[in-house]
Amino acid sequence: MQTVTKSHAELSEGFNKDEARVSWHDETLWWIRQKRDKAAHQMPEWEWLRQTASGIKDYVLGNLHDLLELFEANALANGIKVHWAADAAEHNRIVYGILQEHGVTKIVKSKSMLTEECGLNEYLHEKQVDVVDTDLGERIVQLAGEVPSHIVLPCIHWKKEEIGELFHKFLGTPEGNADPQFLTGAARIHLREKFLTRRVAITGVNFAVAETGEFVVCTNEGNADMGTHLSDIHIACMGIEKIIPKQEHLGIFLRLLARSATGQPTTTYNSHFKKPAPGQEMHIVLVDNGRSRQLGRPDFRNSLKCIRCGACMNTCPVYRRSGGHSYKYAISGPIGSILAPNLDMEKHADLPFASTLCGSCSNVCPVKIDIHDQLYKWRQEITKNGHAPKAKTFAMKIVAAVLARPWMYRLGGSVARKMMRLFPSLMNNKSIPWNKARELPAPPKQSFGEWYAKNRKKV
Amino acid sequence: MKIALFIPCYIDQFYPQVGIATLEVLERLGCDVHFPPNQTCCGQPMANSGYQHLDGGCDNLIVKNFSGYDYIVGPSGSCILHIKHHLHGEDEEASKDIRGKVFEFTEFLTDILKVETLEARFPHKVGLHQSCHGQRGLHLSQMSELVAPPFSKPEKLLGMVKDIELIKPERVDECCGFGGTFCVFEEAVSAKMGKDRVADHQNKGIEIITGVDVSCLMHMEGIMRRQKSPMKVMHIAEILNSR
Amino acid sequence: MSSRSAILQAVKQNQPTVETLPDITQPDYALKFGTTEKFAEVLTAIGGRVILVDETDDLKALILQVYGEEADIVSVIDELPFKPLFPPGTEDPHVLENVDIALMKAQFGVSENGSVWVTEAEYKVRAFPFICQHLAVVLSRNDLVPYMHEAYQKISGQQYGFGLFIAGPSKTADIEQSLVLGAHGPKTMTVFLTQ
Repeated sequence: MQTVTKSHAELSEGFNKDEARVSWHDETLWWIRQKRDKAAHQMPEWEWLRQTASGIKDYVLGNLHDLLELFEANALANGIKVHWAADAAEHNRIVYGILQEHGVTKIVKSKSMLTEECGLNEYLHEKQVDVVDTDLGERIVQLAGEVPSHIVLPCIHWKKEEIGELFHKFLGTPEGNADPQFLTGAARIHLREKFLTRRVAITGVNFAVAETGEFVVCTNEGNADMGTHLSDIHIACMGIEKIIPKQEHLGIFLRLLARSATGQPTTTYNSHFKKPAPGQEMHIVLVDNGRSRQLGRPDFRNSLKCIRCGACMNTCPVYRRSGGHSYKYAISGPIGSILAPNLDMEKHADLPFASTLCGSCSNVCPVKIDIHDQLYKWRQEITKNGHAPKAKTFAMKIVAAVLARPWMYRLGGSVARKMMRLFPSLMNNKSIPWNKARELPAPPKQSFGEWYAKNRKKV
Repeated sequence: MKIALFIPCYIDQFYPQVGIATLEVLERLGCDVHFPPNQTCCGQPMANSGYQHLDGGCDNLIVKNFSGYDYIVGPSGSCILHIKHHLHGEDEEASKDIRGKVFEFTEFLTDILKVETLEARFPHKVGLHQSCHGQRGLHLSQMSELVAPPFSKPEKLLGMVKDIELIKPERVDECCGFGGTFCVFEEAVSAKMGKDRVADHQNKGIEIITGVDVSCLMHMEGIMRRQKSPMKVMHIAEILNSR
Repeated sequence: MSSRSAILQAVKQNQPTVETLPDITQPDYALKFGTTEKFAEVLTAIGGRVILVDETDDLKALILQVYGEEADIVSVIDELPFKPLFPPGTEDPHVLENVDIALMKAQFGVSENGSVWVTEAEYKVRAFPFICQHLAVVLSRNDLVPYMHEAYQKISGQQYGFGLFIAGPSKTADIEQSLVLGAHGPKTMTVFLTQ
């Protein structure tokens, strides 16, 4: 577990030291945003889909109790073993418990942000269980000793030459080979051996259907399926908010998910797991970990509608130029910034401020989460709960006091402009953050108010 | 029709020419415009930084200074949006009344005055920066995220200006990176965002960047001047006021 | 109190009141298209291959034409026998690791995203469509629906243990967004679209 002391601002300052790299990261993610636009603009019913998906998820939040009970009853009838975990620690214990029971020490895992959130890999590592992440992007960051930087594109921050070096070191590929086709082929062979020899597969859950007790896992690579269909035990890990009421609702969500994420009409595989295969055990772990608490926050509960598509990250001009690791939470970007403070307001107090509130995120979100409004509201909540720096509070109180007194505002403005004119070097010194990359505006002799008084004199 | 002019604090102090241009355009369009002299600020700097609870002074000043008008018009998308969504002075009824009457400059011209022609001439290559709060908040123009019919109030007005060459940047509505106190608290990302916007306009051969928010323009201008760029910024009111 | 009870209690306490589910009927302004043309267009665009099969074609011969006379094909279609799925004495999916070309039917296809729906009746063994190097699917043009909406109408009430949509060959773009066909599943996917 990385010990965290740096804020988003500090980490993104570090990220921005290599400007060319930031531009590359930004352009790559912008291109994905454009692919999403292209897919969406081919569908006149796109906004209707978003509205419908949003309405279904609103219903889910309002009926989550009964839907969870219904899902459990149907899943159990299907032969799936259902577990409930109040928090991340319990989730990890439950998963390990299943492995221990069967004497398993080597497993494969496909992409699950829920397991990232719970720190499962680290936990299992301490218990001497060998976990191989089988999604190519996740395997890359795993070999590198990192966590994913994006929920859909785990190693978007890695260049192919760097991946080539990594594979040379760990997989024995020829030095200097950075051909994606070749490297993917090497990973295919390396991971195929794991699929064929490991008997437990952990997956995430994209959607769990209350009506039928089945759950859907969406991948492009087929790694979730290669793992589960060759395993004796399939453990699916799921946040409780991933429930949807009816099977027919998948017709809405599966039309939105891949198009929002990468601009594809669908992921290659949409695997509907309903019953364990003959001779196989299938488990599902339903995890709360702060979700029921978020459900009780009227201003923030809509964040639980998230289907983890990553569109908000791709569009966010700040995310593209700061990178997922600047957010220090498994879910980064705009959605991460409204989920994380619920878990630890103090630790993640910086995240809602890592935004200009431009609103792009809310408008690409397939389930219409009011992300940028929630960012604003979290700022108030965080300040109210005492997590703002004292110097900032002090400065804000002074500013508010000045702005509440017209004479003080006018005098302050006039003095500031005079100082800027008389002592330009004082104002231009680079310790003032504004001045690092920008010039200050030229200070005029007259404010608008002063001009108006001289030239119009009407009230 | 009695109109009150709301002048954002940073325009009042640093860009008075924008206030003058706004006033002159409105007057030329036949408006009876008043400038309440005791106005200060909309309160956004505190609110967006998490200190909405300190906005009482600003809110009460707005209620005090801007009650009793038919419309309140201001050359700023973000300030007007803030007032529209967050004005809650002690007098809630008066606040509600003002929230319903507050307009950004371009939307006032297109929606209320229903301007179809302008006596303006500006023979330059102009790039339109679409400020986020005006665009996505006040719906001054359609945003690229939505699958919806295109429209743009600022563009409609700029189209009435003779000899203007309006050029769009590659990324038509990406944020400039100002974001209020964001510009200093997340300086590195803010500067990079601003540099990228400036470069986008520069690469299209644009001479002057315009928009509805001087905060965006001030941030981009700061970067342009540091880079010794030949480009300039002008608020849309200044262009609509050019003859 | 068990975690189950604690979670359910907290959820019940905190959930808002929302009574209505939206109507999911597709609006009539959604694009209409020929299902065969659209299916072929989309599947090809996403890296799959579509072979149109006329009534008069000999499907088995056509398959051999596409994959080569010496092709190593395992078929689970009774009417199109090639190599059997399992050698006698075992039904362990691990023995499928050397399957080169897997041939199976699909129940129906979805034009808007070039996918096909298969369940136990079609794939027989869950690992089969994934473990092979190449996937070949036989599907009738009459079994194409335009949208996922209609797809779920067809799926409603089906009693499967595992059902899936397959849209083209397995793929990844994790290395600098370069699209590579053939991640962990099959490297190619071909749909023989019969009449």
